[in-house]
This record gives sequence, structure tokens and C-alpha cells, in this order.
Amino acid sequence: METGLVGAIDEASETEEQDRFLIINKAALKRPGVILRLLSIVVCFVGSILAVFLPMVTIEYASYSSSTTFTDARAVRFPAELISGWNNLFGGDYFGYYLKSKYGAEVLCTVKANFNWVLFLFLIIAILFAVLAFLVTFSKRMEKLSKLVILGYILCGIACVCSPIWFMAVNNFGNTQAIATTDLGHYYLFDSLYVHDAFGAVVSCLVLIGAGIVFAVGTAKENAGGDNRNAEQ
Amino acid sequence: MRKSNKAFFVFLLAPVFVLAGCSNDFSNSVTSLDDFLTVADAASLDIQSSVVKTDSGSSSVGGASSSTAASSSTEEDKPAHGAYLYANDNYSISNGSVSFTGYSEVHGSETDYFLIDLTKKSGFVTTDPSLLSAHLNDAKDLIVRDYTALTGVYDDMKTYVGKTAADYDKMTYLKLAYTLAGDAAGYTLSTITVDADVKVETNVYLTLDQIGGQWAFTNYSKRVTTSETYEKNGKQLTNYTYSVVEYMVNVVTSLSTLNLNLTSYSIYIQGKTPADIAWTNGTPLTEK
Repeated sequence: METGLVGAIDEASETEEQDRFLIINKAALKRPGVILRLLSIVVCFVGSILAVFLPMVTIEYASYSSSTTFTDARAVRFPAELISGWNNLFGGDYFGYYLKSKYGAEVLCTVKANFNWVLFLFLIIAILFAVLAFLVTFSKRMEKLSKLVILGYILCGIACVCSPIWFMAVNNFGNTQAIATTDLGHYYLFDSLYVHDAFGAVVSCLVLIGAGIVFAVGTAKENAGGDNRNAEQ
Repeated sequence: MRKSNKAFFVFLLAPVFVLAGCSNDFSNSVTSLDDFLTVADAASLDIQSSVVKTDSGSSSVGGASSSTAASSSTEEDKPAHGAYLYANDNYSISNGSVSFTGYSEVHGSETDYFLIDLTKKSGFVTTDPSLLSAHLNDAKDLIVRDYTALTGVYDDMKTYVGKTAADYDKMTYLKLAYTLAGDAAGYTLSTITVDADVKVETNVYLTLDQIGGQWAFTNYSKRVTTSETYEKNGKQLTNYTYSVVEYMVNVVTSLSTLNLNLTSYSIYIQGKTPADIAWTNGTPLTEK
């Protein structure tokens, strides 16, 4: 009878421990799994900072299809334009690209970049996932969300590598005006426009995915042979 | 903040600034006249061709019916034309009802000159080059005139330097920016004026290329969009009028040769009758 009561008290204590939110102690900070998970947060912030500062978008011209009407000579004369991460994200600075009218005029126009709310949203989400990673690391009851953190990091990495898409969308250029050349309001062609990732997009993507991998490894170490953090505590 | 902390932050931020500098900024707003390049005049360039195209139209939005591409005439309309110069003073000109090609071909010590009326698909051959010179001069004049017009556009852009929309009557938006990318440069002037229910958007794009070490105007596009809002039968309608004028100037380092195919053209010999069947060098007419 007495033994049974002690066992029930121990179980209750363990359940209470599992339900507690955000338990940070020195012992936990020494576990490799926890260290890796915290490292993933740092890596996530590094990836986000790189996305803000590194060149994310490249504008070039290339004759890559049979429908190209842009002259090769002009395409060669235009050096690859690297849009900085800052301008890609917050806008405010200018960038240039060619427009080709239906009559053949190839004009180099200059426009001011708009605020890239799509990428901004993804970077905010990345930071939120970093916060979630911290909470998951020190909260037993949030352990189930660890896979969501991994997914979130990778998703934000993919969002970074998709920067050219967001950039063209928020700045309203690309193929949107190439469809109805008979309409004077939509008669510019973009057929040779080649907007692709700058190295910053690839780097920030890899770093964010790296954060996901680091967090996944940390999670695997934490859960090796079952979640043993209570045992160590 | 302690000195060591400051040094630490500088150490951390330095790579970030270095990375930020990896992008290349080709574009900027025009803030002074120094942002304008020195452009060569027509006399110092080899201009192969100059083509001017215009277009205009209107549409109505908001009503039950709409029309597009209706003909309209505005001050932006200019007569479309084209002038092409080739090596050996060969040329082609198309201006209004005038549409000619002048072509010469050397046979030994003698040169034959062809003047082809592209509209009638006929022409003549002669040994007198002066019969071709009138249209040749017209083509040259047209090219110089077009290039000079672009110089005027460029000079007009300079008047907007340091100005804001508030400096102009009824103007609500003004942007003057440029891109300098390698051997290409482009100036963009955008303005919006609003007068009661009439809004006029003007976009001027002037493109320059560096050819043979000299900057030259090569492409120009001016689009004026006028939108007028009015009420009809209780409905808010908007009338849009578009006007476009574009210049395409081909500046080269040396004029190319004209390759002419006269298969579908009828050619006669200027100043000769059918009885004159041979040239002075003895070449039979049938071989021409």
C-alpha cells in the first residue's frame, strides 16, 4: 500500500515535470542535443542576416528560347545586375532592366524597388521558428513541435532561394506585360529577361536549411533511445 | 560601451558590410548634371539607320462597352519614318509617301546605280549617280534630324535635375533616374500631372550605348497616357488615351553593305530605249 502511494507520487511528479513550460538549467545546456538545437537558432539568425545583406537577385539577358527577339549584342552588353539583399527586401533604391516595345525599341528603364513583403514575411517566420526552436528545446511538452521547426527552417530557406520570384512580383515586372502586344497599355516584351538567384539567395537558403539539419540532429540526439532528458535531469 | 566591446561589434559587422558591398548598383536617381554622360553628336558617329514609330489609341473602362486602339491624334504623334545608310552611299528611305532604295554596283571600271521605288516595286538603273543623290541627302538629313531630336530630349531631361513635382504646375509625381550598366545607359523620366478629372502620365525612356568609345543615343520611347474620368447615366467612366513615339537609332563602327534582292521588281534603264541594248563597256543588257 505504502509502495503504491510512493509510486503514484513519483508518477505525478514526472507528469508535472513534463507539463512544465520552459525549464532551463545548467545540466541541460551541457547535453549535445540541446547545444545543437541552440546552435540552429544562431544559424537561423545568420541565414536571415545573410538574406538581408547578400545580393539575392540577378538580372541578366539571355537568348534562351527560339522566341527571343532581343539582340544577342545587347544582351551581352548588359552586365549581370546584382540586387542587394537590402534593396531586394526593403526597396527604396533603384534598379534597371530592359523593356522591348512591340516596335522594336529596346529601352533601359530605371525603377525604384518596392518593399518585398513576401520575403519579409518569410524572414519574420524564420525568426519565429527560431523562437519556437528555443521553446521546444526547453519545454518537454512542446517536443512534438520539433518536426515543425525543422520544416519551418527549410521552408524559409526555400523562400530565400525563390527571391527572384518575390522580387519580380512585388516590383511588377517580368512576363506580366508580355502577353498582349496589341494593347498599348501592355505592349512591352520581357522575352529575354533572365532573373535568377544571386549567390546570396543560394547561401542564405543553404544556411537556413543547415539550421534545420542542425536542429534535426540535435533532436535526434535528444530523443536517442527515447526522450531521456528527465533521466539526465 | 567599452572599447573592447566596440571592437568586437566592429569585428562582427565588418564582414556584413563587406558582403553588402558585393552587389552592384547600376541605377540611381539623377541628382546633378554630372550624372549625365557626354554624348557624341551625329556628325562624329556612323549612324546606320534611324527609325521612328508612332502609335496611339483610346479605350473606355467602366461602361458597358469599350473600344480599343481607336485612332486619335495628339501632340505626341510624329510621322513614322525610317532612313538607312549603307556602305558605298547605298541607302533606303521611307518617309510618308516616299519609299526608295538607292543601290550601286561596280562592274570593272564602271558603276551602275539603281534607284528603286519600294512602293511601286519598280526602278531604274543608270550610270549617273546624281539621280540618286536627292533621296540620299534626304536619308542623311532625316537621320541627323532624328538624332538631333533625341539630343533635345536629353537636354530637356537636364532641366528636371534638382526639381520636385511641387516645382511644376499641377504635377503630382516626378522621377528622374538613370542606369549605367557597362556599355549601356538609360535615363527614365516619369511625371504625372492631375488637372481636375484629367490625369496625364508621361514616361520617357532614353537609352544610350557606348560605341567606338563614344556614347550615342540609340533607343527612345515616350508614352503618354491620359485618363479622364466622367459620369454618364449614373456610371463613373474613364477614358484612356495612349500615345507612343519611339526612335530606334542604329549606331555602328562601320556601315554594313546593302544586300538587295530585286527578283520581284521591274527595272528599266534610265535614258535608254530598247534599241540601246548594250552598255558602253559592251556588257549585254540581258546580263544585268
